[in-house]
Order: sequence, then C-alpha cells, then structure tokens
Amino acid sequence: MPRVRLEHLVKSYGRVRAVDDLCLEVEDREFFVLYGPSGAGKTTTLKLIAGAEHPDSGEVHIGDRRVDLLEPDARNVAMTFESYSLYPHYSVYDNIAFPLRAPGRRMSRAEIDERVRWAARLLGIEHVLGHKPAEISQGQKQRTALARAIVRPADVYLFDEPLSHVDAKVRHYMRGELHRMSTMLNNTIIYVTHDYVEALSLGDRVGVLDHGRLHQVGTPREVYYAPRDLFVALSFGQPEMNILEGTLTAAGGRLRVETALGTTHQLATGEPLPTAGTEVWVGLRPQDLQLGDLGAGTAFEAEVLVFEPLGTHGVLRARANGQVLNVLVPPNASFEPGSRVLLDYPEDALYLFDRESQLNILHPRITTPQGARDGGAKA
Amino acid sequence: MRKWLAHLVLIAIYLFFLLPLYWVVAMSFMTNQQILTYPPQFAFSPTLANYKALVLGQLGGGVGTLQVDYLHNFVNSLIVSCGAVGLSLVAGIPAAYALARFRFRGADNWAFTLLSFRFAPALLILIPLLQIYQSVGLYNTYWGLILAYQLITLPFIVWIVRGYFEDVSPELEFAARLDGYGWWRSFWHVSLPLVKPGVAAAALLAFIYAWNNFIFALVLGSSDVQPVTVATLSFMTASGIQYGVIAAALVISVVPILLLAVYAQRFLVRGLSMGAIKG
Amino acid sequence: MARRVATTNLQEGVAVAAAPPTPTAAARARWRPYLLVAPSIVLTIWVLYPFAQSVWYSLHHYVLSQPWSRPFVGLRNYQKIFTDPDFLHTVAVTLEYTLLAVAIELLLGMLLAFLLNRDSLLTKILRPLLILPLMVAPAIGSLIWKLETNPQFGFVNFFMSFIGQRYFPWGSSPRTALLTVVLVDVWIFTPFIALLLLAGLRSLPQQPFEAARLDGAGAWFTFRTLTLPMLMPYILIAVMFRILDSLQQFDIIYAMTQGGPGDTLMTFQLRAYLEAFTFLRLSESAALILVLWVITYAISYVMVRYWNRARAHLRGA
Repeated sequence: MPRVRLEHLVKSYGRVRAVDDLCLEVEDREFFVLYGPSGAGKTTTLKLIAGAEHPDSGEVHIGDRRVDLLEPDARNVAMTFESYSLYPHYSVYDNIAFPLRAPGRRMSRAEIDERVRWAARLLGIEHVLGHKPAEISQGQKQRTALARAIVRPADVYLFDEPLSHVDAKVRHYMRGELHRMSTMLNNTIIYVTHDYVEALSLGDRVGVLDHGRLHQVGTPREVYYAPRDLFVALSFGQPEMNILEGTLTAAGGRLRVETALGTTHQLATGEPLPTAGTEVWVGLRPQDLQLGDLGAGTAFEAEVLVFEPLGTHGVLRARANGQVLNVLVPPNASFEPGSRVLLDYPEDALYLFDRESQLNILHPRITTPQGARDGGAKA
Repeated sequence: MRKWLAHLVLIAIYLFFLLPLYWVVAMSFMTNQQILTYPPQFAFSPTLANYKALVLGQLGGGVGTLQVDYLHNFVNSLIVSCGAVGLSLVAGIPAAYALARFRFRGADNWAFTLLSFRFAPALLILIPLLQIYQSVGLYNTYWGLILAYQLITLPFIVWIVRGYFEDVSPELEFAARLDGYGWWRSFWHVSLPLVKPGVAAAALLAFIYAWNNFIFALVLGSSDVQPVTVATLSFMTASGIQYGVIAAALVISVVPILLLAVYAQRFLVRGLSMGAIKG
Repeated sequence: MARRVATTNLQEGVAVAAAPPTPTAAARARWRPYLLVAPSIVLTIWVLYPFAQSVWYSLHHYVLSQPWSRPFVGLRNYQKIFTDPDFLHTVAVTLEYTLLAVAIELLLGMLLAFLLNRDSLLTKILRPLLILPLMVAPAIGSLIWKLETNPQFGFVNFFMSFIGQRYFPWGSSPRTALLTVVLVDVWIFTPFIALLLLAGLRSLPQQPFEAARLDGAGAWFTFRTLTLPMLMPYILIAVMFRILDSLQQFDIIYAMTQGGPGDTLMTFQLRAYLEAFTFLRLSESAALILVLWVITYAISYVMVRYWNRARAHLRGA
C-alpha cells in the first residue's frame, strides 16, 4: 500500500490557494520528487505532511494512520529545511543527537553515540562534530541537517530544497551523495526542488506542481518525453522547448498540421484528435532541431540571430518565418549573425498541444514495457 | 584647543555626577567627628565602625545603645525584589512568547495596557489596593508586595523578552517538534535557551526597578517588610543616629545595584528604552 | 495521555490509531496562545479592580474617618478640584518641575552624548561610569543629596561657598526647594537621556556626514540639518519617558521634604498622598490621581504609537 497518501488537500493563506485539491500517493520506499517553480506549493505540501500547517480540508495518511490530526512529534516524520534550521546553541554532535534524545526514545548514551557517528560518517562530517553551526561552512551545515534527519528511523523523510543554497560545483557532487544515501536508507523519501536536473536525476517518480495543483506524476522519462501538458513540457529542458503556432487541417480524409514554420505533417490515423481547423501549439525541443536536411521534406531556412558557445554544446538562436527558435548545436560550430542556415527535425519529435486546455494531444511518445504508469495525475 | 576644552568640560560634568557618590561612600568610613569638621577633609583615616554598627544592629549613640535592624531591611529588599522578578518571569515569559508568535484577539490591546502600567501614577492603584490588602490580610506581607510589584516588573519581562522571541525562527521550534519533542519540551530545549540574553536583560532591569522602588513599599508595607529604600528614610529622620551610620546605610542600599549595573552594562540601553532601541 | 514517539514498526501505529480520540493538534494549537498568556492576564486583571475602585471613590464622598457615609456625588469632586486654588498651585508646581528637569536633562544629556561620542582614553574610562547615578533609587538619591547639603558639614555647601553661598538653604526654603529637587532629578536621570542619545549617535550611518564634510558643510549646519533630524526618534523617546516620569514624581520630593516646606512642592501625587493619608479624604485624592492619569495616559498613548513606528524603523531599516 502507498506509504504516503494525500487526499484532496486544500490549504489557503488569505485569498491565495497554496495547495488546491491535491491528491497524491507515494509508494513505499520510493524516492519521490515534488518539482515546481517557487510559489508552487511544494513547501506547503511538505509542511502539511509534517504537521507545521493544518489543512483547511483533506486528509494526510502515512502508512495506515491518518496523521493530519496528530501533533508533529507523533507523526514519525523526518525533515530537512531549506534554511537548515540547525539549533545554534548546540554543537553539530548535539544537533544530530537531539532527535535520539527525545522523550519516549529510550536509547543509551552508547547507542546514541553510535548512531550519531554513523550518520556523521555517512555524510562526511565527523571532523566537525565538536563545532557549533555558526562555525562551519554552508555545505557542512547542509550535511548536518541531513544527518539529523536520517539518524533516526522514520516513516517518511522530507527534504525541502536541500541543495538550493549550495554552490553549483558542490551541487553536482551532493546529488551523487544524496543518491548514495537514499539507497542506504532504503526508505520513503519526498524531495522538493525547483531544479529540474535534480528532479530528473534523483527521482523514481516526479510530481510536477504549479499553483497548488499537480500537472503530472510520472517517471522522469514520462514527464520528459510524454509531458501531459504545456507547463510540464516547458518545465524540463534548458533552453526550454520551442513553442510555435500551428493549425490542424483536413486533406484527403486525414488530418494535417501546418506549423508556423511553414512545414506540414500528416498525422497518423487511429488517434482520437480534435476537428480540423483547430489552432494548436506545436512544440519542438532544441535538441531535436538539427542543421541540414533530413530528406523528409520538412527542412526550412532560418536566419541566424545569436550563437552562444557553452562548452559542451552551443545554443543557436535563429528566426524562421517570424518565429524565434533555440537550437542545440555542436559547440565548435561558427555562425555569422544574419547568415542563413538550413534546419530540420524528425517527425516524431513533434509535440502538439491543445490551445485551450494546453493538454498534450498526441499519444505518449514512449511506452515503458514494464507496467506503464499513466502519465496523467489524479485531478 | 577644542579637544582640551572638551575634556575639561567632560571631567567637570563627571565630577558633578560622581563626587556625590564618592562622598557618601567616604562618609560611611568616617567617624562622626570627622564628618562634622568643616571644611570637609578629603584625606582621612577610615573606620569600619559604622558598618559594624549596622551589621550588629547596635548603635552606640550619645544616649545609650539603639537597636536597629537595617540588615533585616536589606533582606526584605532582596526577598521582595527576587520574588517579584521570579513571579514575573514565570508568568511573563510564556506571555512574551505568545505575543511574539501568535496573532490573537486583544493581543495588542493587552500589551499596551501592560505597558501603560509602567507610565501610570502608582497611587491610582496603591490607595484602593491598600484598602483591599487591609481587609484581606495582605498588608505588610511579602506576598502583598510581590504581587503589587508585578505592575513594575511584569511589563519589563513581557516587552523585552517578546522582542527576543521575535528573533527566534519558528522553524527551529518546529524542527524540535519533528525530532520528537512535545510543545513544552521544544520550548524548553530550543526556544528558551535562545532568548537567554533577553531574559537576563529583562530580569536585570526589572530587579533594578523593583529594588529601587519606594512608593509601593511605603503605602503597602510597614516595618516588617520595609525594604532599604523606605527604611533609610525613617532611619534618617530618626533621632540619635550618627551621620556616618546613615551614610553607611545609604551605601548598603545602593551597592548591590551599582555592582549589577557595572557588570551588565550592555543590556541596559536596550532595556531602558523597553526594546525600542538596540543597545 | 501517552504519546510515544512512533518507530518504524507500523503495527504500533495501528494501536495509536485505535486509542481513544485526543484533542486534535489543530485545536490545541488554537488554544495555546490563550493558555500562555493566562497567568499574565490574571496578574494584570486584578489590578483593574483597584483602578475601578479609584474611579468609584472619585465619584462618591468618601472620608476614611466616616466610612459609613459614602454618598454618590457624581462629578462634584472634580468640580471642587478644578475650582480650588490649591489645585492650580499643584498643576503649576508639577509643570515647573517637569519643564525645568526635562529641559536641563535634555541639554546636559545631549552635551554629554556628543562629548562621549568621540573615542579617546578618557571617554573609554568614563562611558561605563555614566550609568551609576541612574541606578540609584530616586528616594535614596534624594537622601544622599540631603545628607550632603547639610548646612553644618555638607561637602556640597563647601563647593557652594566658592560662589558665596555657603548657607544655601536647599530644601528648607520655599525659594530654593524646587531647584533642590530638580537638581536631584537631573543628577539621577541625565544619564538616561545621555545613554539613549549616545546609542542613537553611534547607530547613525556615516555616509551622509562624510558627504557633508566633502561638500564643506560647517559643524553647526551639519548638526542642524543632519544630526538633529536623525536623532529625533531617540530624543523624542527619551523626552517622553522623562516627561511621563516627572509629571508623577513622588519619591524624590517625598524623601527630601515630604512636599514642603509648606506646600511648595506639592505635585500631583504628593498632594494626592497628603489628601489620602493625612486628611483621609479618599475621594479628593482619587479624583486628583485620575486627572493625572488621564494626562499621562494620553501622552503615553501618543508615545507608544510613535514608538512602535520608531521601533520598526530602528530595528529593521
């Protein structure tokens, strides 16, 4: 059964609905990432699970217990905070030991010491155990916060943007550490971030949240290759997916889409599609656009605007038919602003979104062989 | 030239402020004879006779010995001041926390009412309170004074400690809750230690104002519980008491506070302005 | 109610769920603030009863020597007060005392603050000593000065002899009594203003002054247009504190002369004390005090409003 279940959670602050009828199930031992921009309601959701806030309506279940009526200390939840919230008057050792010294947990001094050192060793902070939080670096504070969370058994671990205040360089390293740690913990984790790289690399599943509502819940592959709507599609990828106007037309009993680039595609039959004459959004990922002609008759000319070489790749910004596009190109290419290039893309790289609902119209582009999980969220 | 003048003026002003204190201390070490000599001698050989007399409770005057119990008054001051501050801490710290953390009905109104006590004329409460105390049996008792002193000490605790609680992040308390501590325990282990300096400052100031209080003790107490402030006045007007002994009594009544003040300088500015100004 | 910290054994969780219903966390959180303030509220509420009593006294005719007869007289006591020439005298004395004391303290305090703001060996030694007179109980301070202005041997008189005033009457003469008590007030409370202003001076930002210096502004000009306006919050707070205190001054005057000689120093609270404890006229006393209270309440209301703004401004900005 799911380890964490949120049923129709609603939480408002004044007129703002931070969490809007949220329903979610997190499986046992799953590393679940809650992803979304600032203000999406991610931290509020964590707070509702942990007990810092009480929902206006809805229920929170952990295991088979209903916990939204319980005090935070009765929920058996561990959490790290974006600002770490280390106890400033305690040493690192005492910070980590604090949960183990709670009333009701009868552990001997030796047992506590063993657990604290285990956690410190796991996170590489044994050498600062005697220091106070004010005396250690940002990265060490973050690892102390993690150590404090994992040092005791809990039903679910909540991590609120643990890497957001960490240097970019260290962040890469810490992602690996988090992965390693989560495997060792072998427990349920809910991880909140606004960084899509973390979401895709760490999560077993990702929930995309915006304005308190879940747009999609799925594996990293699903949310990336089969985004449920425009918002999800734009959430992943740097630069963002290119979005163009397009129209559906009928020709010989089959539907065609005409893009603003001037290209046309025939859509496969057997798809439930809206009627001809509908306006749609067309999506093309920068990495799917290529230089040169692929020979399928969809190549088009574009004028070079800006080229940014970025080390591992380059970003070319070009305009075709009045549409500005970002294209990923090899980093050692060179382009003259104003010159013309030929661009093309494979037909199956095309995304179509309904103008009104912004839902992804085409069927999911991938099918996961082992128990395909639906790309849609319960809403 | 400017600097020299500034220093001169500064020293002159400080002489005005410090000489009277120095002189009363000096007088406490003088015999009656030495005091009465005019012009006053700045060099003299000190004697402990005055202090001995006060401590032992016997004054050898011109007309036989007088029983005096000044030490009892000193102890009274101690009991009442410590008691008042203690009670205010117990009642005031939770209230300060509540005001800092929660927005509840009547919060600001009540906080202002509490503060207004600090600025209201004491007799407004004291005279009717005296009637009540006399009928209830609280007149001339320690508890009577301790309860009355709350008007003085409680506002300090609530207002100053509240400011410090506002600086403590609520997230810290929540972290303690998640770590398995009930509300009260997380308050005790996390919130309270972090406002220790505020509590110290508030308690210090409240103690000073309680110790220095005069009118409350004058109205609501009599010889049994008189603190040093009131006792010294009657001491001074009583006949047959030597000036040196009076000086010694004055010194004893201020020494504890002066020592505290020197020790805890830095808390004082913030406390004096009731938290309006960061020292 | 045993609320154990649950472990990962979810079987225990089942037991907890089956336990009798306890008040929900949300409900408890709602009641918590009220519980926390309850003791303090109790301590403050019991003060309101005496306050109500005072009001009651002022509206009746209550003489302690005739406790059986306490007829209601409405506002007559207040009428009596306002038409009584002695009342005008009380107001005059109180105002004189307040104005004199606060003015001198402000000027002297400001001078001290500026002098102490420079860093030198002298100021480093003197700064910590500033607080000493302030720590002396006003009543004790009054007694110290009384002792040291003794016409026989007082060392203050010795200094006065340098200006030909060896036998300056201090508290015993109606002409000099006010000056005497104001002197004690100034001695005790000038450090209060000086300390506050010093804290203010030290917290002022440096840039405007540097800019003014670069622009060639003179000392007086800088003071008038920069220093003074920026110090205003501190000055106003300090002054309001002192005004409120001085209007109600009791300890200093009582210790020095008990209000005398005659009624030269009968400020509001002293007069009220006299009415209540010597003449046993509780109603007149109460009416007097209530008039004083209204005045101080109004001033403190204004001050707190202003000061909440100042507090936010000085803390955050």
